[in-house]
Amino acid sequence: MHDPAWEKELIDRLVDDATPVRRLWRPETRMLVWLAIVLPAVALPAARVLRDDVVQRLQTPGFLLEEAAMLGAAALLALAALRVAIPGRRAGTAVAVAAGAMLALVGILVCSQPVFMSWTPDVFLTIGWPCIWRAFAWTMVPWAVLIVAVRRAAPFGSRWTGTLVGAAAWGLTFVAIRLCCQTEELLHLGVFHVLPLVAGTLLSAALAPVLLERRT
Amino acid sequence: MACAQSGDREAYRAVLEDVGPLVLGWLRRWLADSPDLADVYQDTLVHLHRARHTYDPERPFEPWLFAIARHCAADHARRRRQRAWEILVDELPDRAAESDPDRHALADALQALPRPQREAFTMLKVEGLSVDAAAARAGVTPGALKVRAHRAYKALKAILGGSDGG
Repeated sequence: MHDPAWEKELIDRLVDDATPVRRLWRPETRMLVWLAIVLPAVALPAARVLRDDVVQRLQTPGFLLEEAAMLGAAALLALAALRVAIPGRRAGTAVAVAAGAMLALVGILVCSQPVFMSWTPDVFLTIGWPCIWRAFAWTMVPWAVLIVAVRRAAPFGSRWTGTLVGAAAWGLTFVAIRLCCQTEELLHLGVFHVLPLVAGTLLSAALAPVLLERRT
Repeated sequence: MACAQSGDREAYRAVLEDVGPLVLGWLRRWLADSPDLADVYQDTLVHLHRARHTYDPERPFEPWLFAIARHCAADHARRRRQRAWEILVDELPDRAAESDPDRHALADALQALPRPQREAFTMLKVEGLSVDAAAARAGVTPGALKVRAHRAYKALKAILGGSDGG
């Protein structure tokens, strides 16, 4: 079953191949680097289409809290993704609890928005369509950069890692889209802001086995 | 390991030789008497080699090492189940055809079982593992595995008996 000669041969081969390697930076540092790279990538297109009342809205405590909570959750989800991609590491209870609490807070604040029943379906879709395509377009860079960063480690639980990567990238885009979308209405936010986030996260989880798993 | 990351080959050799017995012992507990133990052991060492840049010298070594071994063992078990399932789907309908005109009845019936029962049945009847080995792989006691297998037999009997009668 186990052949010592064969084991020695394998070890010799691995030792021969043992060139110096560059250690990974700490996950916290890598998360900050990710933010530093992707924030401009999302902010630049968002700055061109900011809502007219963005300054006033940012002075509203509820809106500011929602944006800060989602940005914090996205950062923590990215940190969790970078951590779980390292063998033997977990996301960490504090990170999981904090991210969950922030997402719950965002959910409560979104659900507190009023509902307009007077919209016709075509008006509803016309208003929502830009939010959808912007969300998909603006998420590509944060998602791709985080996938590359996670792949640099050794992600084993690829679906879970992919879920965290997707949630982090879409969470970041959620913040930017809210700064550009004038519509403060529950159905619109649910269908055109939250639903793409959920769908994008699931898509990321589905793609993760193909993108993250390494075969020996 | 920190020296090995810097390219110190003798240190790396010492690490690999030291972890060998640890990994083998751990894999024996996980895989029991699987004939593929050597393959999984090889996978683990190769994965360790490829993931050596992810080790943080400020953190304990064992959780990192055994996470790699656990992944290799789980991946191996998954691939083995997949192969067994493909064999089952390919071969069992032919056997079933002798008595059952519905060639896919057994495969369909197995698919309908809850995953723990299907795995217990597959490990015992398709892979031919012993109860102890199957229990070790499933991470349950032999008694619990027998219960799962028994439930699988009963459910298969009920499903196939129903389809025969229909």
